[in-house]
Amino acid sequence: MSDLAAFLLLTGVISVVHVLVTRPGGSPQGMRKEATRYFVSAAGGMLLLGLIIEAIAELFQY
Amino acid sequence: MLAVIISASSSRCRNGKSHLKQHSILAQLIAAWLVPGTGHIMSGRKESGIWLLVAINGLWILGMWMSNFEASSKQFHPWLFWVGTGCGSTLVLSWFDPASHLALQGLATVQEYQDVPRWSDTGSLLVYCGGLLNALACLDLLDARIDPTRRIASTTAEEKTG
Repeated sequence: MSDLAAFLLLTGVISVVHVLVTRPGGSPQGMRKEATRYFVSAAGGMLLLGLIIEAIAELFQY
Repeated sequence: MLAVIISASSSRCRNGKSHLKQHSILAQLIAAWLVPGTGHIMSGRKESGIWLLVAINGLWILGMWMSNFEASSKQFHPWLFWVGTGCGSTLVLSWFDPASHLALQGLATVQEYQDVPRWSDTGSLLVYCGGLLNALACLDLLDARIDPTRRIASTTAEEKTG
């Protein structure tokens, strides 16, 4: 559980910094909205990838 | 340092527009390295600076607290320590080495058992990620100076909202 908390915290901070340093000038979306979208897609994508790998490992274990 | 931050964030009204004091890129980089986020505030990107200040410093403080200051010790992490120096405060703290008393020397290593704090590794990880993210923020400052056209609109937008 503590690992999950650290994972979410790191993903959150990385999302904020990523959006701050890559957002082009005049972006129509707000910073908070953009960071939230990035956080959901990054954390969700990584968790999904983890689940797929776990499922494949379960299928092929002997 | 505080005076620099205040002078950068305080607005001077001229012709109905607020103007920020212009600092040299070197001063901005040094400030950003020592206290993450201050370089962006000095460059006029106040909103970004505050976000970076909260995010990176929060990560750094939490990490140091969790690792019992071991993250700032070259003795405990001789290689990873240099990743943490992306935040200048890690280097400054290493001069005082507050975790030095935790290291056991010579015979003490076999005579005494010292438990490693439960969150030590996680804390170190947070500090080192903070260091890397601050290096990225410093590069962003430099990039904004090299190619200011990319940032002009965002600075103007931040000035309007701020």
